[in-house]
Amino acid sequence: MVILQKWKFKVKSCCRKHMLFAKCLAIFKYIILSVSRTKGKKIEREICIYKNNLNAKEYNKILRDILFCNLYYNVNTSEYFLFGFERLSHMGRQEYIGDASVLEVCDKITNTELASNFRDKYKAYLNFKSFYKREVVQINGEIEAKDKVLDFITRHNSFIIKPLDQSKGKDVIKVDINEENFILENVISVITRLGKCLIEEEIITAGVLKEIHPASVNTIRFVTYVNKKKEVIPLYSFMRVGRGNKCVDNISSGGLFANVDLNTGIVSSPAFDLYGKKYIKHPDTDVQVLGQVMPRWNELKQIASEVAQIIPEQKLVGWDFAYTNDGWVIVEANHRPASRGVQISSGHGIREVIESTLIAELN
Amino acid sequence: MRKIVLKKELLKKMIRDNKLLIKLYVEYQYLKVYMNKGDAKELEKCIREFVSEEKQVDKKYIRRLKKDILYCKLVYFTSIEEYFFYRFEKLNEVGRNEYVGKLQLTEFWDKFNKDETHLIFLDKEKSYQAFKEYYGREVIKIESESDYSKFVEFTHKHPKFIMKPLADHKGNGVKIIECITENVEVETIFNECLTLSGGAVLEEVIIQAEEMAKFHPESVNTIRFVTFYNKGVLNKICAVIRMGRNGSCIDNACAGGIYATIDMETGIIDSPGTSHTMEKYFRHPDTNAQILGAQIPYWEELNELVEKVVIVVPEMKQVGWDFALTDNGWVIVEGNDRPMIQAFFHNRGLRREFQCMFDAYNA
Repeated sequence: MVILQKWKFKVKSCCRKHMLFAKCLAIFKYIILSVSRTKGKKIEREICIYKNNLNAKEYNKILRDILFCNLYYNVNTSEYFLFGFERLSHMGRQEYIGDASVLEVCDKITNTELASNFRDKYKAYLNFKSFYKREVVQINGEIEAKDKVLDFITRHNSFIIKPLDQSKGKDVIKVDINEENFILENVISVITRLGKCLIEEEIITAGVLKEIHPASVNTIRFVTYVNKKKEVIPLYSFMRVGRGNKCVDNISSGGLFANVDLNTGIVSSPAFDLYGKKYIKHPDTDVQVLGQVMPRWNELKQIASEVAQIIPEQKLVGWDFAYTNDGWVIVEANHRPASRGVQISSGHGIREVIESTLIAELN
Repeated sequence: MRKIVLKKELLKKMIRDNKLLIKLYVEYQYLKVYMNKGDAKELEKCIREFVSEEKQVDKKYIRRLKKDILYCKLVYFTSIEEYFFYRFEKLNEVGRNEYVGKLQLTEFWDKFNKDETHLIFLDKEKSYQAFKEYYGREVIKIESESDYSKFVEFTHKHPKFIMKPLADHKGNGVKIIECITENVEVETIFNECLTLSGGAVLEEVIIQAEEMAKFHPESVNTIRFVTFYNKGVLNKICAVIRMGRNGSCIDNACAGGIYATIDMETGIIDSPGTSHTMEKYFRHPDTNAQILGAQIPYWEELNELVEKVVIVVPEMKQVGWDFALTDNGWVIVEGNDRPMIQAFFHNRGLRREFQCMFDAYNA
């Protein structure tokens, strides 16, 4: 089994170096896909999300191209469409870097011990407490749940329940004790189901980020890199806003994202959804997204460079900031930040940025 | 001469249908460039301007680039500059097909605007007579000595006015003149008018509304609105805002102005301001007014006005209208029969928008 995986890895890295080899392997894969029905169906479904009404000839052409890009550029099917690979030449495609490659580099550059400072959300809170500017309590299961919740609601009327180590906004629930249908037992049972979880004081957002979609906590994802001289370099930033009545803004939960210019804090692109659709105005609130200026942007940059220096061994961190009346606060810190959003919204790949920083360091 | 040109077009059409012939033609053109003939000078100039210095040394790369440019010129009708504006290097054939080339448009205009009606826009006084009610200001023509009394009357009414050469475009020779009522002063200006090629047009100054003046108060900032009107169907193709720079009184891009593209549906500026040398500005460098994301005021009124003006001279199928906003609403500044505007859209091609035109051409 181990040998097989080693071989798989060898073939993969060979594909990324030699275009011809990747092309041959893509054709081989294509033949396998056309023979095996189940595998073919899966990728067909994925293609259908982004491209409808293709005839057989076009479909096969795109399928072959996707398989090739998957091997040579290491991008998956949805990235292929969202980055617009169908219309790019080799030179254009080279600028983009798939999430798989970024995460691969992230994992190589950190160790598990370091990563646990971020993966464990309570540990992260303790590390960066002064930037959270709110109370967070960890609950370790059913026994202490009731006491801790009861104690917590004496101080805060509403709170957020978050699983300890989930990402992508999964299972995040907002609780308001003043609401009519609030029943303590229900809350306890939710907490029991989740096992270990956090309860957090609700972040009361303000400013334009709130106006764009008031129902959710909208954030700025700000990615920093700490170089060998322990200087903090901001790599990119983008805005994420929620959609519908969801309280989270994560892209995988239906949220929208837009590029934010690092120098000025101006939203420099329309908002995009998961399927690459553009919105100049937010579809729910009709508030314009493009061109909005983020408040106190220099302050945000300052905070990011301060907080990144607390654990400088963690080279790459994606900070989620929300804007409140007290200024910018950290919502979360991510040690494996996805880079898809910024590449789609800005229309430029960031392979060069990643290569000149992280990959250069690896070598 | 005309016959030869026609034959050349036919020949090119033939070549385009055959892949082998295309290759041969490109090699032939490259040979011409190599011998310092044909497009050699322009190619060199553009490569010096747009290609980074380290790449310019790479002879193999430059050779491939030159061939690719010549190839695109033949197949996609793009001029050498356009090749760099649209970043064709990074696009494959699908991406390149999204763009409309300058040479193709010229071909269409030759066909569509060939009759005498298109002279109406070449003569600024004639176009004033035709569109008088939408001009919202007085315009007179000075051609000979006999126009002196007209001139004096005009200057009494409007001591500050704009002097434009009768038959010149791109903002050449446009001046703002403030008359002092002494006769000597008036006479020198009158004589200056007569020395201009083909005489001069004097226009009452447009006092623009605050909403548009904020970008650059010294110049009249205009919206270039391109329409295609054929058989009673109006297609609004694209719109661009242009503003002046460094206190200059004209906003033409070739005169150092800044332009930005407008979203047709909402009237929101959806690109950063761009100068002729491809520098990008989120805010106007002189006034600091934000360009990206700004809403063009009275966008619906402008759209209504466009619907009215296209009917006045329906023989003019494609027109690029320049509009300015005054306190009394939108007024026409001038019309252009060959609106070179497609090159202002760097991030997306306009073939879909221009398709209606090509369909009419083929019908």
